[in-house]
Amino acid sequence: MATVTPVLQTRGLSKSFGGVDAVRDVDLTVSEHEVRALIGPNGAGKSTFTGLVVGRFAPSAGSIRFDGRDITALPAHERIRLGIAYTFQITSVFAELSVRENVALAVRRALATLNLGRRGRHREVRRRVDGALAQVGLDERAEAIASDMAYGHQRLLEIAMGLAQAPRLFIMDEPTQGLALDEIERFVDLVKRLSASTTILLIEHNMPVVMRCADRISVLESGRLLAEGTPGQIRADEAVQAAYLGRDVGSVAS
Amino acid sequence: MKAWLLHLGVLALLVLAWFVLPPYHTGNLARILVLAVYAQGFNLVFGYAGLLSLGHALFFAAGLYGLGLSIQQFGLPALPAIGVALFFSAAVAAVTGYLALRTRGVAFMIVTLMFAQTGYLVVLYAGTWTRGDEGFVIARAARTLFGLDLADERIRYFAALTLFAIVFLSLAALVSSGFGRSLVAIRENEERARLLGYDVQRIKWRAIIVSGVVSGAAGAAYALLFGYAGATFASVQYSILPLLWVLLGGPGTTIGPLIGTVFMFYLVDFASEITDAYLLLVGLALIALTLFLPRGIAGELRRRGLTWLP
Repeated sequence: MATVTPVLQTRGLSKSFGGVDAVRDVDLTVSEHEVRALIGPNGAGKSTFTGLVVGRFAPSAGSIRFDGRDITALPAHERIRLGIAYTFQITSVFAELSVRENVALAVRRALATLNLGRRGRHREVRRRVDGALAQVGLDERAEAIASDMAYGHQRLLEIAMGLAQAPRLFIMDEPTQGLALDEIERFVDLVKRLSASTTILLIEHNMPVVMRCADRISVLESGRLLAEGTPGQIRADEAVQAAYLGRDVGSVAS
Repeated sequence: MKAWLLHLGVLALLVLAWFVLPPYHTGNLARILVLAVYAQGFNLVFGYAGLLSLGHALFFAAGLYGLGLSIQQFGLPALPAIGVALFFSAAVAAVTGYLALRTRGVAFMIVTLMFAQTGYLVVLYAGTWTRGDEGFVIARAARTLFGLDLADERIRYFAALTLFAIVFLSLAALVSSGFGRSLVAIRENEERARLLGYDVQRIKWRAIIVSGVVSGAAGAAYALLFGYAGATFASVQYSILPLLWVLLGGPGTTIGPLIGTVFMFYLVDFASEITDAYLLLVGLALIALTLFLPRGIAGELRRRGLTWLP
C-alpha cells in the first residue's frame, strides 16, 4: 500500500513557558485535503500548538514536518513561504491600510518568487485580491480602511489574506469568533469548498461549526492530545465529554 | 499619477524659487534642500519602517567626513570623494544597523544613540585629522564637480536641488514599490507581516542601509557645497534634528521631510530675530504643532482628504 506523505506531522511536540507545560508531547498528523479541528477547553494549548507549527515560538522538544520536510528549525517567514497561511486568534490586520492593500500585501509576498514581469504581476495581484475578497464577501468594501470596519469584517479580511496566499495548509485560530450568524454560514460553506484545494487546521469553539466542517477532530487538554477521531467518534468519547464537552454534547451537535 | 504631478510640481517650484526669491532666501534654501535630503533618509526608516533611530548623525557624519577627509587628507577630487562618502556611509549603516536590529523599541533607540555617540567621540579623538569641534574648511579649489565651481551661489543652489530631486523622486518610487509597501506593513503590524512570509529583519536592514546612504549623501553634499566639516554634525543634535523635521512635516509621507525642514529652518530664523531666547519660541511652536497636528503637516493633509498623498 502506498503511503501518502501527510501535509503536517508533529512528533513529541512540546513547549513550556517558564516551567508551565503549555503543549506536551503532541503527535499530530494531518493529511492532504483534510479539515482538522483542534478543540479543547481554554488554556488547553491549542493556540500554543498552532504557534509552534507556524514558528511563532520555538518548541522545547519535538519536531514538525510539513509536506515531509522537517521545518522545526525554520524561521516563521520561511515556513509561510513553503505554503502555510495563518490567522490569529485576536484579529491581526494592517489597521490603517485599506482592505485591498491588506490582501495585496499577502498576495505580493506569495507571488514574489514567481517570474511574472511587472505588468503580469500587477494584474495577477489584482485578480487574486478581488478573488479572495469575493470569497469572503468583502468585495464591496475593498477600498475601506481596515480599522473602520466592524470586528467581524476584520476577521473575514484576515481570512481573505490567508486565502489569497493559496496555501497548502491553512491554519485558522477561532475564525468564527465575532462573526454574525449569516457570516458563520458563509464561513462553513467556504471551508467545505476550500477543502477541495487545501488542507485546513481549525481551532474552533463553536461546536456546531466544528461538527459540520471537520473531517477529523483532535482534542487537547492541559497540553496533551486527549482524543482524536471523526466527529461521531469524538461525540461519543466519554473522556472528551468529561474533559470538555460536558453533558450537552449530544444536544449541541444534533 | 496625481502623486507624480505633485512631485514634479514641487521640483518646478523649487527651480522657480531661484529666479524669484531674493539671495538671502535662495542661500537658505540651498542649505534647506541638503538638510531635507537628510530628513528624507531619516524618514524612510522612521516614517515608513517605523524604526525610531536616535543615531542618524552617524550616517550624516560618515558622508561628511568620508568626503571631507578624502579631499583634505588624501587629495581626492570631488567625484571619487563622493564615491568614498557613499560607500563609507553604506558600510557604517550596514554594520551598525545589523547590530542595532538585534534590539527593538527603546533598546533600539539607545543602541543607535550610543553608536552615534561613539562616532562623535571618534571624530573628536581623531582630532589630528578632523580638527574636532573646530572643524576644517575645504578649499574652494577642491570644490569643483564636472568643471563647475560649487562655491558659486547659483551652481550651489542647482547642485543642491539636483541632489534633492534625485532623492525625492527615487524615494517616491521606492516607497510605492513592493519593498516600500512591505516597510509600511512592518510599521503597521510587524507580526502580521512576518506571518505573511516577509523576512522583516532583512527588510528593515535594507531600509537602514538605504537610509544611511541617503543621509551620507546629504552629509557629503553639505561638506562639498558649504566647504566645512565639524564635529557638531556628528553630535546628538544632528540625530534629533531630522526627527523634528520629519515629525513636523509628516512621517511616512514623501513631501513631509521638505515641508518640515523648511518650516523648522524659518521658525528658528524668525524666532531668533525676535529674541535671544528663540529656542523657547521654537519649543512652544513645536508643542502646539504636536498637539494640533500629531501626524505632521503632510500627514494631516493626507488624513483630511488628500488620501492619495504618497
